[in-house]
Amino acid sequence: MIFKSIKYFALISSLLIFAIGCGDNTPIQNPPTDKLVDPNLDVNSKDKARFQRAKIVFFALPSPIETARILKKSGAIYSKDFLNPSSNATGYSTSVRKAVALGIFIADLSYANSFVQQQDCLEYFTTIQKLSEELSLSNIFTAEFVEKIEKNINSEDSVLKYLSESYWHANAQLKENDRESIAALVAAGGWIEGLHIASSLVDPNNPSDPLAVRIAEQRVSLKQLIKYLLSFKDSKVLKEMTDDLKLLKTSFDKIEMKMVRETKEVDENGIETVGNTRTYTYPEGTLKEILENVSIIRTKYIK
Amino acid sequence: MKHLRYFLAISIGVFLFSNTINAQCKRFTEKQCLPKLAPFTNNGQINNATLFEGDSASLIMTFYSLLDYRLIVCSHDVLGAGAHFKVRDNDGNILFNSQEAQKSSWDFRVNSTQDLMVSVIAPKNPENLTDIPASGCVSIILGFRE
Repeated sequence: MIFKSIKYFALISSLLIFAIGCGDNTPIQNPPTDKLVDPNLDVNSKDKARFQRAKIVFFALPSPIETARILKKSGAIYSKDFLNPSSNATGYSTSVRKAVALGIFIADLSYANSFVQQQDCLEYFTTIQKLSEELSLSNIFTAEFVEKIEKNINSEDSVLKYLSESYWHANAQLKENDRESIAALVAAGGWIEGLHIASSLVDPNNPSDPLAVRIAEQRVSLKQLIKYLLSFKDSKVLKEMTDDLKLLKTSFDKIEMKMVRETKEVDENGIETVGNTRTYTYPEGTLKEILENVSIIRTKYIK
Repeated sequence: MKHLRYFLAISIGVFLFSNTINAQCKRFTEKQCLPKLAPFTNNGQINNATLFEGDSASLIMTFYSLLDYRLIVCSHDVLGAGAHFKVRDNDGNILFNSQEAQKSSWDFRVNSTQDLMVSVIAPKNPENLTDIPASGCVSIILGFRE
C-alpha cells in the first residue's frame, strides 16, 4: 500500500514538474549573474541575494508595425508587387509555415497602411483573419473585427490603432497559452518581410542609399531575434528559422560599423535625443550578398 | 483509478493557475498600462511578468532613429510605490533613471538605431509587514510615433 502511494506520488510529482517546467514553448530565463545585477539598486543584501536569483531577462522582438513606418520615412515607395500575394495563404500546411506567413502578412498590411492603400489593407486583414483562425488565435482577427476595419478604412490612424491592438492581443494570447515560439516565428516572418521590402527598393549598387542604411541597422534586431529563438528549451520547431537567420547574420557581420558618442540633447517639446551615432560601411559585394540571402530565405517561406 | 482522478485534477489545477496568472497580467497591462501610451502607438509586442518585491528584470530593446518613443514601466499597486527603471546604452551609461526623474515614462529618440538595455526593479514595499513578499504584474510597454 505504502509503495503504491509512493509510486503515485512520484508519478504525480514528475508529471507536475514536467507540466510546469518543460513546455517547449517557454523561453529559458538567463541564469543570474553578478554582471547583470545593477549595483545601484536600493535593496539590502538579503533582498539582493534573492533578487539575483530572481533576475529575469526579457527579449524584445522586432515589430513589423514599426518597420513599415521606418521604410516610409526612408523614402520607400509603395508597390504591391513586392508583397506576398494573399492567394498564397491557403498553401501553408504546418503551424511553423503559418506562423511565419502570419508575420509576413502583418508586415505587408502595415506597409500597405503606411501608404494608405485601403483595398490592399482590407485584403490583407481578411487573409490574416483566416491564418490566425488556423493558428487557433481566437477572438482577435474576427469577421466582426474586419467589418470594423472596413468602416474605418479611410482613416490610416484608425487602421494602425486596430492593427497595433490586435497584434498585441495575438502576442498576449500566445504568451498566455504558452505558445511563445509561435509569437517568435510571427515576429521573425514580419522582420524578414520588412527586410525584403527594403531590399526590393534599395539600389544594390549604392550603399549610401538611405534604405541601405536602414538594412544595415537591422543587424541589431537580427542579433536579438536569434538570441530569442535560441532561448527556447526545445527549439526544434524554431531550428530551421534560426539556421536561416544565422546564415543571414554571417553576411550582416561583414558590415563595418563606427560609433561616436554624443551628448544628450533635449528639444523644445522636452523630448530627449540619446545614444551614440553609428555609421555603416558595406565592404565590396556585401549589400548584394545580403539582398540575395534575404531573397532566398523569404522565397522559401512564402512558397 | 482514484489516484488517476487526483492526478488529473491537480494537473488541470496547475495548468489553469499558470494561465490565470498570465491572463491577469494581460488584463492589467491592457486596462492600466496601454492607455498611458497615447498619443503614441503601441508596437504590438508584449513584455510583462509577475515580479516579487525585490525582483528585477531586464530587457534589451531596439530603437530606430526615425521614430519618437515613449517607454513606460507599469506595475500593479500591490508592489507599493511601483517598479522603477533605468535605461543604459551599449557602454553601460545610464541614459534615463525613472527614480531620479520621478516619472514612470520616458519620451525620447535615438541618434542612430541601436539596442538599449532597460532594467526594472520592483523595490521592497515597506508597507508589507508580512514575511511573504508581495508579487504583482510589471509591464514594459513601448509606443512610437513618426
